[in-house]
Amino acid sequence: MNLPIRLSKSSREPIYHQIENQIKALIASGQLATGDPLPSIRLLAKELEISSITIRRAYQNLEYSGFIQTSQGKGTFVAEVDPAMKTSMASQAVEDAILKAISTARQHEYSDEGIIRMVETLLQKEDNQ
Amino acid sequence: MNTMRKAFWLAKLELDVSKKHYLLLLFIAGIYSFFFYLTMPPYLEDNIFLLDAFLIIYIGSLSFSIKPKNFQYQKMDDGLYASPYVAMLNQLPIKRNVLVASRFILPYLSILIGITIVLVGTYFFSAELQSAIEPLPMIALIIIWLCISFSIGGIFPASDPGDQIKRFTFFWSYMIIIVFFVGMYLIFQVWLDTGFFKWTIQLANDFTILSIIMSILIACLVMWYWFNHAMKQIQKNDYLQ
Amino acid sequence: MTFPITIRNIEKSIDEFQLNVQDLTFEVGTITAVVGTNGAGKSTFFKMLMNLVKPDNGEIEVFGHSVRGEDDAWKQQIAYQPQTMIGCDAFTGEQLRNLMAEVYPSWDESLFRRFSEKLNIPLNKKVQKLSPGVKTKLNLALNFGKNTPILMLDEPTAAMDIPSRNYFIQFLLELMERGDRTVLIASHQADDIKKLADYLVFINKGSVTRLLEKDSLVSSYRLFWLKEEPQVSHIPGEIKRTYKKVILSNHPETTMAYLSKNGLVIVDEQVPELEDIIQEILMEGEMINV
Repeated sequence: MNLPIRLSKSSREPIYHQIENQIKALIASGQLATGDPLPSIRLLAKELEISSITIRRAYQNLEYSGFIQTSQGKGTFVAEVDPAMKTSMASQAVEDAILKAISTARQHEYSDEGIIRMVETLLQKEDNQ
Repeated sequence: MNTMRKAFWLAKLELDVSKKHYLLLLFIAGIYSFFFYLTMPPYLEDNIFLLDAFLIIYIGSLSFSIKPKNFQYQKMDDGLYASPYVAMLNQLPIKRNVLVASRFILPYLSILIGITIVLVGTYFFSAELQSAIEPLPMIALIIIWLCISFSIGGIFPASDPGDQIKRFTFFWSYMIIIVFFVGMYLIFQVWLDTGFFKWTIQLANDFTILSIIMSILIACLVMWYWFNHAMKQIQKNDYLQ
Repeated sequence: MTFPITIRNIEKSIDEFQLNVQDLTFEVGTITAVVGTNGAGKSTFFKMLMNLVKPDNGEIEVFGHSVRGEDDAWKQQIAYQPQTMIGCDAFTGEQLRNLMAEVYPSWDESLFRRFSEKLNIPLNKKVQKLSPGVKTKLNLALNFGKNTPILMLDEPTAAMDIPSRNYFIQFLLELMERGDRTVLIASHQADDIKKLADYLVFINKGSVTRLLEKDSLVSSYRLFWLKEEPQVSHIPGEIKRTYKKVILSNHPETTMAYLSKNGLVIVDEQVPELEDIIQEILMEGEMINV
C-alpha cells in the first residue's frame, strides 16, 4: 500500500521531519485511521527512494509521540490518537500550508496587504463555486 | 574421513558433466594398448626408446582427456593460469583440503582405468610380454606403473589452483619436460643399456614385494608434495577474475 | 558486538593499481551500495573480502573471524555473486543448485524455487547456453537460495530486463525485512542505489571512502537558483555553476550565509539528484564532507 507522501526537494526541513509531519497530517485528517497498517520501513524507503535509516528515525519519533505502534512480527499500525491532538495537528497543518504560501508570496515581493487581498479574493471565489 | 567423503561428493558432481570424456579415455586406452602390443616384441629385444616415451606421454594425456574445457588449466587474467572451475569452488564454503583433494580423484581414477587397461591388455595379447614376466610379478608391475603415473599425473590437479605465469615460466616448463626425457634416455638407454619399462619388469621380477612397497612409499611422498603445493597456491594466488 | 564485516587498513597493489581501504564496518540489517567508475577497484574490493585476492596489509573479519585464517567456515556466512560467472559452463542450473545446497548449511529451497520460477529460469539448460541476462538471474536465484546473513552482489542487475530487475529489488527488500541480513551491492544503476541503499561507499582510483549515509550525503549538497549572476567567480561552498546563476554547493550553510550577506537573492533552491552528486564525486573527485 502506498502512502500519499510527497517529499519536497526544496524544503530545508530534514526528510525524516517531512515524513513525520505528513504521516501525522494523514492521521489528523482521518485518511489513516486507528489500526491501519503502515508500510514496512524497507518498503517505504524504496518508494520514497531514501535510506531506511531515515524512515526508521521518523517511525521511532512517531512511535515515541504516540501516533503509531509497532508490534513485533506484525508490523506498524496507526495508534489511537487523542481527538484534541488531531484537531491541533489539523490546525498545525493548515498553518504550515499558509506559512509556505506566505513565503512564496514574499519571494515574489508581495506586500502584506497584497497577500491578504489575494486570500480574500480566493475565499470569495471558492464560496461562489 | 569427512574430508574424503566431501571430496568424493564434489568429484561425483564433476563426473556427471564429464561422462562422455570417459568414452574418449577408453578409445585412447585401446589405441595405446594396440600400439604397445605391436612394439612390445622389438622393445623387449632392442629397448626402443619410443615405447618408454609414449608410455610417459600416455600418462600425461590420461589426466587431460577426461576434463571438459572449463575445468582445464587456462589463462584467467594477465598473470594467472588456473582452472576456472577451481576458482569458482574457491568462492564457496568448501574447506581448502576438501577442494584440493577433490581435484585428484578423477584424474587418478582415469589413471587407474587407463594404466590397468593398457598393461593388462598388452599382457593379455602379447606372448612376448607373457614370457618376460609371470602373472604375479605382473601385478607388481601394474602397481609400480600406477605409482609412477600417480606421481607424474599429480602435477595436473596440483596446478588447478593456478600459478602466476611470468615471461619465462612456460619456457622453463618445456625445458623441464625436455630434460626429463633426455635424462630418461641417458639413464636407461645409455647408462643401464635397457628401457625404463624393461627396467621395471626386472624390478618386478627380482624384487616383487620390495618394489611394490618402495613404489607406494615414493608415490605417497610425491602426492603429499603435490597436495601441499596446491594448498599453498590457493592461499597465495589472487583470483582477479 | 561483532559486525558482519570489519575492515582495518587494507592495502593492495596489483601492478600499477593500488587499493586502499581504511577502517570500514558494515552493520547488520543495512544495504550498502559500492559505487565507482569502471576499473576503480570495486570487484577487487569484493574479492578481497572473499579472500580471493589477498591484501598486502591489513585485516578483514567476517563476524569476528579473520578471512586469512586457516578456518574457512566464515564463507558459510557469505553469498558472493561475482560480475561474471566462471567455471560453471558445463553445469545446469539444477546441478549448481545441488552444489550450493550441499555446501551451504543455510540453503533455503523455497527462496531458490520462488525466485527461479518467477523469472522463468531454465534450470535444466547448461549454463553455457544461457544468455548473459539469464545467467545473472540464475546466479541471483542461487545466491538467494544460500540464505546467508551476508550477500555480496557485484553488479547483479547489469544485464537484466526491467521487470526482472524490479522483481529482484522487491525480493531483496523482502529478505531484508527480518533485519538480520547485510547486503553489499556494486551497481551502476542509479535506480538500484536509490531504491535499495542505506549507505554508499565510493571507490575512486583505488581509494575507498568511509560509509556515507545516503540521505545525509544528499542533504549535504544544495542547488541554488540566483536572481542575478554573482560577480565573483567562486562563492564559498560552490563546486559547480551552470547557466551562470545556478550554484551547486557542498556547504549549503556557508553558501547561504555568503549570499544573504552580499544581497544575492535566492529564487529557488533544492537538494540535487543523487545521480548528480555521484557524478560530481566520481568525475570531479569532489571531496566528501558529510
